[in-house]
Amino acid sequence: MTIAETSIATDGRPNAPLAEADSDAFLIRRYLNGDACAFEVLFKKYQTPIFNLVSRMVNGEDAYDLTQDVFCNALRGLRNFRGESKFSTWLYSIARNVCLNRLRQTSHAGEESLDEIEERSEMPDLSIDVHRIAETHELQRLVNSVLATLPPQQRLLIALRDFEGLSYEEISQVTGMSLSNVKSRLHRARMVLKDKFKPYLNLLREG
Amino acid sequence: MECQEARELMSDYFEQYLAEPERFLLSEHLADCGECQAEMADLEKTLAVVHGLPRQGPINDLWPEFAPKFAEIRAEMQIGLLERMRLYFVRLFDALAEGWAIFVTTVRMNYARNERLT
Repeated sequence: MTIAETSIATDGRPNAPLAEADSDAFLIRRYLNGDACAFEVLFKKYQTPIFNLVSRMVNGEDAYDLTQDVFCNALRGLRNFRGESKFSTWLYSIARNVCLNRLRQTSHAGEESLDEIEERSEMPDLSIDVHRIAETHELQRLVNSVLATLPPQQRLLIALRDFEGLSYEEISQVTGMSLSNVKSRLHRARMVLKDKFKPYLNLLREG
Repeated sequence: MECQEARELMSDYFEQYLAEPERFLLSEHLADCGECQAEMADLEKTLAVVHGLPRQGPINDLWPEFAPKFAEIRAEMQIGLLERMRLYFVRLFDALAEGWAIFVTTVRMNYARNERLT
């Protein structure tokens, strides 16, 4: 099987089938055995899911730089990847660290205090054209701007579960939280999102 | 079931993870409580919007921009390997030189002892 024959799924909600996980292991082996192209295939396969997660965590152009940082860290650490979790889960945990570090730098918050950053009370970005929110692009902007008012840990849980479709077990591996903690914190995050999104639900209905 | 308890279970209910008897009790509560019914409906609608959004991908393929970094990191890692190999050979050379010095000293001492005996 050549690298060119390896299929690249750039989209589709996750929970990768076993064959996909196998193909990741195959590509990692190829890369570690000296085939540089194998990493390019992995990069192209995961750039969209990682960018999707990162851009829900940080806004704007930062998402481009941070996505590249995730792959730089992955490249440096690939030799230490033991295959105990799926490659995608490992990559998401690198993305989590990269995003939280960036948010920590920008908020000047200490390591432990990130978890406790209060949700912002201000309203989301109202430059959004409410007449056009039925359009996907405007809806993405609206949802992102509502998400940006949530504390980083809540944003992360929603991004992993509701945008990336990871299972609770995978989220537990990515975040290091227990399953019950994942469930309860995700529920809390969703309730906050629902409250913040409520004013726009009526607009969507009217649209 | 109280409203507070009902609201705690809404995510699990939405995910269809809620087992009986909680599922039945929550359904019953939702049928009777207009406020919780509205909360549940808002949660479902919000999550439907989120789940209906396509993945947000980069505008362009990021690989062309990443490729020089990739080459740089690989070179950096290879330099690291060469450095490790250099150290390995230096240590090997030191050990061989030490062994050779001990061997030569022993031979010379042996030779001197034989000279004294004869």
